[in-house]
Amino acid sequence: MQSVVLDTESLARFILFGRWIRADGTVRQDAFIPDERLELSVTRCSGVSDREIWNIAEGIARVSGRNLHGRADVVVAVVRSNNLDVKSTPQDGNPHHADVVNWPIRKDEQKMVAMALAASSRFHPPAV
Amino acid sequence: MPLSFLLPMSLSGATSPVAVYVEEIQKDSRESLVNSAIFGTRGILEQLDAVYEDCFLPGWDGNGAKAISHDVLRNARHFLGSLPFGMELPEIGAEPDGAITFEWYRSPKRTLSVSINSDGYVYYASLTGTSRRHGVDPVQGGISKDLIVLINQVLGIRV
Repeated sequence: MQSVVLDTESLARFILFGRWIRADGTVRQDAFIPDERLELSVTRCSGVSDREIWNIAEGIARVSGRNLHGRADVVVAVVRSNNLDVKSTPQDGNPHHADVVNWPIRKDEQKMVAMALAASSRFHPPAV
Repeated sequence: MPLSFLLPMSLSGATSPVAVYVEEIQKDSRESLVNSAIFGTRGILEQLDAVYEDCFLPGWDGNGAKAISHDVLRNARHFLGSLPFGMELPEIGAEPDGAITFEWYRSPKRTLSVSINSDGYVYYASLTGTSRRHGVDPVQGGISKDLIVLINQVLGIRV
């Protein structure tokens, strides 16, 4: 997979915490808040089979001892339209890993951006 | 010599028997409301404890999430306790930076989220159609009047 992340690519945010999904199947902004390093861990979906994406998600759930509740997909162009960027950061067990970076420092501004990403995202329950 | 030290004294500093009695009645009334099915916050406090138990270890999101601390739990309880009686109760969540969240929701583009972090501040953001609002309040002051107005706007309640 190329290191340059295209605007047309789709990014998956794996959901291992059930409260990130609302009863109506939409995604809470909580799922898109970055960690303390101001990075949001995602997986690039373009050029990768759906089965492979789910295999990666299931592997992460298994290693961390959590339940996989699904994934929230968001398009790179939407991420960049919120003044964020995407950096390819392949990892052991997930060669398609990337981080969403360039987050604002202020927490309330992070929440505003995360809310926009969540509103544009699409939730997929785990593949059976 | 003042005799006030002989009188029963309450946490609020009330000294007369009547004041202490009134305070006890108010406390009992409040506890009844907290326990009531309609106005009660007992259920949401149990949800809050459940979220804490789910997230008190680091990595609870399967990645690098920070553990929710006791300070955050205490601040979240304080914030919940400051909500006006009768206000619609929020849904509880958590964020990877170790915050507890409260969400008031009508649709993805009509929602308000509050974060309780360990630094003693309440961070909020709201979407109401095309209107975006965000800000910060100190948690010790409880919920601010501005935030109550904003929540009511998101919920479509005219006050």
